[in-house]
Amino acid sequence: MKSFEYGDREVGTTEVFASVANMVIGFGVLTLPRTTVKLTGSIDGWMSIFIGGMGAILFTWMVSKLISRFPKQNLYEIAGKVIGKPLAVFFTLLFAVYMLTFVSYETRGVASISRIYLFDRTPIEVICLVFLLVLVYAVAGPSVALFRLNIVFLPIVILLLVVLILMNISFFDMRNLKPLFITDWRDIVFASKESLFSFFGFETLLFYNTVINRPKKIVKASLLGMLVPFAMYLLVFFFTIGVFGPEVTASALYPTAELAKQVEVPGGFFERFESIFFSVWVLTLFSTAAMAFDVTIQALEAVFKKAKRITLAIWLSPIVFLIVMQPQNLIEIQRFGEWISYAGIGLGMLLPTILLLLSLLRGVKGRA
Amino acid sequence: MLVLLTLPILATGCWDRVEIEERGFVVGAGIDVAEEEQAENGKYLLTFQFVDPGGLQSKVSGGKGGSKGEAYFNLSSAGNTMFTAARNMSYRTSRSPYLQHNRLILISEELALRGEFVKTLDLFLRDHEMRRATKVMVAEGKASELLKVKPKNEKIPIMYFESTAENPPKSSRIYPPTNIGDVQSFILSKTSFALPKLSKLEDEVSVSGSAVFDGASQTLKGFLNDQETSGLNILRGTAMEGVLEFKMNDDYLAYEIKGLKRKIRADVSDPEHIRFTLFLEMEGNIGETQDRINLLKQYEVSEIEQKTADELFKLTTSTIERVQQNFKVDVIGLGDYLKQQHYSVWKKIKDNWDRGDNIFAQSEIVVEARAEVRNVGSTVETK
Repeated sequence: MKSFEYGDREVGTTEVFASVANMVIGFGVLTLPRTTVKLTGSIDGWMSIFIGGMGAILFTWMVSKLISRFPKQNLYEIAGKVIGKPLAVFFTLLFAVYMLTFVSYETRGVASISRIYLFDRTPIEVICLVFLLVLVYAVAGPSVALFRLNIVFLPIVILLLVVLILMNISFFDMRNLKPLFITDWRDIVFASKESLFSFFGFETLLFYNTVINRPKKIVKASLLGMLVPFAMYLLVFFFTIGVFGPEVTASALYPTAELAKQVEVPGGFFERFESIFFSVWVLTLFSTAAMAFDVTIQALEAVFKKAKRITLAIWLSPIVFLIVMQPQNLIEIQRFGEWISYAGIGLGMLLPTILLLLSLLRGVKGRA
Repeated sequence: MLVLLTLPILATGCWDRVEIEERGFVVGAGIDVAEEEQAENGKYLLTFQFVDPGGLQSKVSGGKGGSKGEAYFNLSSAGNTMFTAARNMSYRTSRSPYLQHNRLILISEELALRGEFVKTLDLFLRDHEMRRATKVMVAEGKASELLKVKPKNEKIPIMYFESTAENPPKSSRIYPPTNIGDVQSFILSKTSFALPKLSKLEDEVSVSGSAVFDGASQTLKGFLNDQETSGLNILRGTAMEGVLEFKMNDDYLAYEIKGLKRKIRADVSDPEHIRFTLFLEMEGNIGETQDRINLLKQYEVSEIEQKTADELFKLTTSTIERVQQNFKVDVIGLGDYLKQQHYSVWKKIKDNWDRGDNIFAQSEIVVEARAEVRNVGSTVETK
């Protein structure tokens, strides 16, 4: 049975685990400590992240439950069986648009971070263009390949985080963690919305279902995958507060990046730890954006059966580029991110939940 | 054809390329209030200290050849914002300032007294080239003058200041280095704070002493001298090591501080009049004694311990008096303690803590000191 596992166009549970984790970790973790502590004003923000994470895990469970009911089928086929073809076309196209804006957002994120910390003279358009060209190259191949790439990326990301935290231990000040339990519960709940936004990405499973080979194990693998960003966000939050205190965290644009800048290793070699940090960060943003782009194409392919992958990729990239260039400043980028997150609630959380409930009620199953 | 089209893309090279020879590495910055003719260009005078890598080498080889072998040079420029001042410098040096390696920012006394130094620090927090670990110190007098001090055993003045400032383990009279990230945190939380003070003595500098700032107005309230700084370090629990000197009978005795534990207890039953008790537990060695004491006798050691505790008490209470009654700002960190342990009370009084009604100045602070002698050295009696 195990003659040549990677020769086929299917992936196992390890890939699902790594991909869910990698897809979720994206631009959000850089700003999450700030957005959370801005509302909560103290270390109590961890509860918001906890609530947000729990919510995300609940919906991941919904999504994976739904897709394990319909093995080897994507959103279009599932929706077609449950709510009929016209609505399926509508929602799939909507999902494609959502994912396309997601790609744009991540691309813009890469560009604005590199602009601040890495190259301050290269025009933002050029950074975006280069990144976009790499994305097109990535999605030109089969989507399984992209999915498998996550197995390579995830350990690097986790290792980087561990190093980041180890190097900041000496700056950690326990006094910043106190006082505890002082934030109003309404603020905590309100802030959990922000952290929920940072957990988007798991909904891509709705399309990657076609390549997953062990439907029964999807639920467990994807939930485990969600635990990685969950733990990561909590750790990063504790550390930014512990190192900087709530006030400074709330006023730093990218607190997590500041954490990387803070690192000072005697000897001078690692004095610029942030450059390593950003290189790896571009890696995760790349895998997130590439998968989102891939899902866009898969969604369109599902609706327009005749379209070729590479043609779609090439035609979509100018559209992405135009969307990327729309926000003029940071405020607009943030608002843009917020809209996408609201779309995410609708398409990534509510839609799969409704589909799952309907399929349970009507007794629709994957294999006829 | 396709190859020909892609070739020009590869030929463009790196957009943000800056050759290392074209960079002027700034290791330190000094900020002054501009005077006289410079004042026409702007309110502030920014001085950068650049490293001249060539100078670093020629010194090693014994200054052969004609080069004077200075490893640094200073440039000053005035401007209303630090940004323009820094940009103005690029007109005057072949190497544009590069601040990734900036180690230290010196703030002049006058600027600090005017309460404007926070305005000038903005650039150092905002710009991506800056690091949060850059240290901030207050210069007694002018910052630009201090940057001109020729160090004896280091090649660059800033390096000399920095390594001297890192001596707190040896002396409790040096206030621990405070970096710009901490300063931002103090300002944002409106906490009063102290910064190390740098003063010029002939052709050397001294980092003992500290400058006390009011958190709300961010103005310099005054300087603490060596003794008071030592007291502050002990009160804050940051004194790791240091020396206490006092008279024992008729001769002097030096007690070497080896460890310090600080515990605070507060009675907040009356928020308008809080009673603090600071428990200080110190342990250390006998560094030097000029008196004839048999250090193997329990009662002698107990007496030394008692005397040390008294000295500790005297030192800290004088600091408390100065900080509480003269400056009326809480740099001891009692407000932080209240915030951490008695948050409900703190919420009510935080706006009147060391400003407004100044509850801090009215609260009662009691010190209870205890000292232990762990080690007497290798001699019992010298004379």
